Amino acid sequence: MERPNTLERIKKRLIDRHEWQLYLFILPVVVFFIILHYVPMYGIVIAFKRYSPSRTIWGSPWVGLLYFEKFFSSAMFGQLMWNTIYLSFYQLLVFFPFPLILALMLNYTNSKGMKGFAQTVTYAPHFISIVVLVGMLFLFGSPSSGLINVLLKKAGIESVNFMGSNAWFPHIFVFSQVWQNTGYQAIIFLASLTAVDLSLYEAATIDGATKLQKIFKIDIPAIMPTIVTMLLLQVGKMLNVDTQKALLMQTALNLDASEIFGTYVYKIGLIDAQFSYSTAINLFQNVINLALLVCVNAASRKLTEESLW
Amino acid sequence: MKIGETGQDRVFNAVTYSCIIVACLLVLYPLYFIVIASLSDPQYVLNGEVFLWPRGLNLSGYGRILRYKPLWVGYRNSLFYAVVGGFLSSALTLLAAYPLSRSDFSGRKAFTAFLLITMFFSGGLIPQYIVVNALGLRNTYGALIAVGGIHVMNLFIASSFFRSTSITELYEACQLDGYAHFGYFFKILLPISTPIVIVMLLFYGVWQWNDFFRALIYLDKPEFYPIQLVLRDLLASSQITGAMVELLSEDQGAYAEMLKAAESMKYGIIIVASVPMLLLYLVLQRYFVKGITMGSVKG
Repeated sequence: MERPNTLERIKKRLIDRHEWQLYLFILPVVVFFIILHYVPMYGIVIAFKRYSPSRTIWGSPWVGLLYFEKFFSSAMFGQLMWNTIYLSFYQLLVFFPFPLILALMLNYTNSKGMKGFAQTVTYAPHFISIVVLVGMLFLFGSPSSGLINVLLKKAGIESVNFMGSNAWFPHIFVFSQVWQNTGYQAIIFLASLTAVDLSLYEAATIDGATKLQKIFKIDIPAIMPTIVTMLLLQVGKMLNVDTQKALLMQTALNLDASEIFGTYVYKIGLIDAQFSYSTAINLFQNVINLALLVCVNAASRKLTEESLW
Repeated sequence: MKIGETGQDRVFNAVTYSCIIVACLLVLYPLYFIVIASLSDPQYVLNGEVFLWPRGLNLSGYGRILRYKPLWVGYRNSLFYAVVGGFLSSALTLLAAYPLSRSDFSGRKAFTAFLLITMFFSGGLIPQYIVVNALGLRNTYGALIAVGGIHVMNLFIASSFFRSTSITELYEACQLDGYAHFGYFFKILLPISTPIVIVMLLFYGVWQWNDFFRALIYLDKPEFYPIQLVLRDLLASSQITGAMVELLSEDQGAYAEMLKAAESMKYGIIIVASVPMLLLYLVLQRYFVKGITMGSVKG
């Protein structure tokens, strides 16, 4: 039998088996991603050039690592690193357990009505926009008329300018995240809990296991893959703390704590119009993120046999 | 008491039930407070005399908000971004999700990698800004519809849905009729996939409605502002912003009076801005839950 050559094989797939239609299906999205995601990746070269809007990217002169050196030797470097990593770790440690605990508790709620109600209520804040959420923080935390300070005053405690304080900024940032997204994340854990084999519970009940023992012996091991995947995704975004939120929460008085990579890249780039410098900082941030993700993923594959890819 | 529950279990139940109730109260009370504060006389709110129900019912704040034009321009624009953007993004996402859901698609691995890379590495803010600027999209309605218009996560959710819904026999029947993928997708798969269509429309729609950062970057003409950008000027500050002064200019009161009125009016603004999405959520909750659940299934 004669072997068909490559060209004929491709032709057979594409035409006779109508695979060209599949390529047509995906074409618009591919074009979209090339223009809006891959072309900007080429634009990264301006981090190594002195780019200005009056010149083309191609025509701008090369400056090598000038902007990176400038950033590493500036006082902002240390401050951004510290603020971003601190906020990130804080959020990771404090926020992560809440949805897990909520999901486990809801999973052991015998009353269907209560479970449904609690899920509906805790998921709701996710639909409040970040602008409104921060607006609420400003309202409730207002030193003169905010609810929290009114209560503090009634208790005889001096009022606190929550949104104008470096010390309070990380706490407010993280706990408002807990308030807004615990219910949302809990749904992901709940979904993977429904996949647990019911006969395991029955066997455990017969053996006289308590609910707490079931949680640690059955549930947690069963949803470990989900937990690890979600942790990995978080760590991979270590330097990508929610820029929108930090920017909105920024006031002149909490700037020392609230200036993070994202907000600084935005300000240097679009407010000060230092395009190349901003891109260099942004690139540094992205490369560190990627390196972290690769490392954590490799470590996780070794330790728990769970990985993203 | 249920069979198989030990004494320890009853303690466990008591603890979890109280924790759940406390969690619900912690979520609900701030929202409830905003509602009652928006309905109360500002004086009572500012003096901290409103806790459990509205005092000195006063709707003048709402009247003023209703007459404030930029807010309604933002409302109209955001509705446009949510509906048109939501529809276009969903359409492209569903189309691309179909080939990715087919294990017999020769380009599946390559395209998955092509899309996945953008989740973990991007050109960054300025390079993207330069591209969008070069395309002439800045200060157009197209800016918010194009930038970030397709979410890779949604694409994977849709393709895993198609994978589990696809019916091989019907696909083969289509092949024999000469329709192949076009006929199968549009005549059979899509009509039985209404849940995923709704999930996509909702995910993209809510996201367009609530997102503000792209608007901050790509729009500086108020006629294109989505509601979130208008809200930022009104809410995200403890100072009186320019927008607030404008909103209050019907009052010729002293600055202190203005500050008070401004503070209390924010409650009403939050209600007006958030109610549409919260209602949508309450009515279509099962679709939102379904969407997340599908997204969490790996692979």
